[in-house]
Amino acid sequence: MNDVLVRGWPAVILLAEDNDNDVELTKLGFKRAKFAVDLHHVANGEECLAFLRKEGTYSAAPTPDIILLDLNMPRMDGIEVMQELGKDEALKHLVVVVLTSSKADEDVIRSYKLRCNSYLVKPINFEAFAKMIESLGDYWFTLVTLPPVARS
Amino acid sequence: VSAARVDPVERELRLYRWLCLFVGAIYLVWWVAVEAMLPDAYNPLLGRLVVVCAIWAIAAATYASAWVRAHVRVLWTCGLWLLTAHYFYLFDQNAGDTNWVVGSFITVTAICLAFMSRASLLAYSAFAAALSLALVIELPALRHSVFVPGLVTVLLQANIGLHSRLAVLRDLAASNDHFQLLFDSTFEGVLIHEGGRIVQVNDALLRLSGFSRAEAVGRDALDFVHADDREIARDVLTAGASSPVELRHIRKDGTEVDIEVRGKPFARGKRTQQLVTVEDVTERKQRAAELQRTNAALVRSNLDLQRFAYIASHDLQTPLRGIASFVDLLRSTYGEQLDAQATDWLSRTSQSVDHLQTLIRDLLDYSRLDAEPRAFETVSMRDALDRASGLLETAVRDAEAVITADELPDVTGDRSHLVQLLLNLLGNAIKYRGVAAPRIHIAAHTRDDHWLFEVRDNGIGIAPKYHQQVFDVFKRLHDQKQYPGTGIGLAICRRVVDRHGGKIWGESTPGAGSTFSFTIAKGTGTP
Repeated sequence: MNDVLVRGWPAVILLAEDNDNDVELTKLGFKRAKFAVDLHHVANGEECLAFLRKEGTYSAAPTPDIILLDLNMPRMDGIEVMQELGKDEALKHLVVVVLTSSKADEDVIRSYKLRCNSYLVKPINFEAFAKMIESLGDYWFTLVTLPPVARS
Repeated sequence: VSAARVDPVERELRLYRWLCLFVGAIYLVWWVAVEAMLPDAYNPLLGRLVVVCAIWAIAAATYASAWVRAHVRVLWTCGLWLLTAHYFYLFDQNAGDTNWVVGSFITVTAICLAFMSRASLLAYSAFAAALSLALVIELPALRHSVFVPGLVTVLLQANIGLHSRLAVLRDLAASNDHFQLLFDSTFEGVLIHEGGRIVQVNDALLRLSGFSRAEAVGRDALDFVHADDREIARDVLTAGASSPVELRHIRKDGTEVDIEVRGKPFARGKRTQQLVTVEDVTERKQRAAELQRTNAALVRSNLDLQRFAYIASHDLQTPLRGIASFVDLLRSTYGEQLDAQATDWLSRTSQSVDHLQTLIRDLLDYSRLDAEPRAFETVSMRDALDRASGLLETAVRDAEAVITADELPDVTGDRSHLVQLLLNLLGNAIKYRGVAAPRIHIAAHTRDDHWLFEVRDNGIGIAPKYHQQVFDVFKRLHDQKQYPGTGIGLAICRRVVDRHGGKIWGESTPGAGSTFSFTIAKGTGTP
């Protein structure tokens, strides 16, 4: 195993994404980049918030190191999730990376105004996608000091 | 009603001229007759010539002097008095022996009198009566001879005077008929009122309102106006209105009708009346409302279409990315296990996906032009050109293209769209180049209310029948192998130019290059 470990254990990532293909591709991307990640998946904004607040079925959920957030989701979209996080003192320090197919200026501006940490546009083909995931891991897991997480 | 009517003043003038000639001539003929019949009578030629010349001089002067023309009646009366006085003098000199002299002057002048104005007629009658009385009193022997022609005079005066007055009345009636005909045959309703009370209405207005003339004339015009509009109507009736004022009129059957009225006061004698025109605008209002509805629907459907294009192209990207990525994965993971046929099919799938991706991206760009309107600002076309050619740097270098430009003005517009416009035109000029290295020149000309820009190249050109079609969305003239692309570039150009209040067109000679011209409105236009 030469997978990269973050702080001695696999990084916990929460992927909020409604598209199964993209979930699969993201998993494959991390595998290809050889990052040891503990990837959790939620399919919409409501689930995402429930996961973070450890509500209902998510009572045993870990606190993620990074949230990969899609903007375009049913029920509650990424923008609304970020608004909620901003209001929640217990969650506002979490690292949010927007991962979306939208290149619209408006979406980019709105996301940064809600203090997302990065804005990434999903590339068209897998090679480029895998490369992006690799760079993302390099940056967030090796260069950046992430907020401390209480481990049980 | 005769079409060509002689001006009555002109007709009267002509009549006076003829009378002058006629009366003067008779007076001279009379001299000859008296000389022949009464050789011993007192009958001086010089005296008669003076009178005749004076009367003829009036006729001659009407040609030369406007003052004489204006006072021809007065002058003519003076001439007649001169004539009569001369007769009286002749009568006196001949010791009352010439009965027919007296009769003749009365007969001749009677004819003339019939045509004179009432005031001068009265003055002359009084004069002639006084003269006759003097003759009767002083010379009882002449009583009968003076009375008979005197009576004839009075009868003639009465008859001819009446006749001429009847002619005047007939003329007046004809003229009134003519006016009434015009008044009634206009399409607009017309009413004349005095202080709000209706004096006259035309047929068109009666048709519009359903009232009869008897029901309308004499009533207050405000009675026919909707209660809520009476204040506005009162203003029109008192002050007049040169531009149309909208009101609601209540018909006889109680229904409402939208009308537009205009009013204009005029003086009728010493009184002030007002002419009000009334137009039924129900149909026009309906048409305007309909147009507004259609327009709103059009705007809505256009917005829907834009949103649709934007969302469709946006949402199409997700499944497409899935296809592209899994095909990629398939090739990279299982490539070695696939035979040549399968590899070929996979690469064809990839190519199609790439093409579809380009199409969607371009469609997204196209629909975004309107979906994200930005405020106009002052844009230096020189800067826009520099930015566009900067973005094309690689292509320019590879093709060894040379881009030159006139001095370019500042325009009012959307900076990024104008850069896009130049980028697409320059990009095309480089892409569709001939054998020689591309030479592109951008010229600018000022026109009255817009700027005219020309982008001239030495490329392969476009056949004339496609000069318009190239601006259509997805219209392409070449296959993907020759010149890859989606055919959206010029459609975007047209959209950008449209938004800047301009036009775009292409002129080209196949093989010799193309010139794309576009205009941009001057001034502070908004998108």
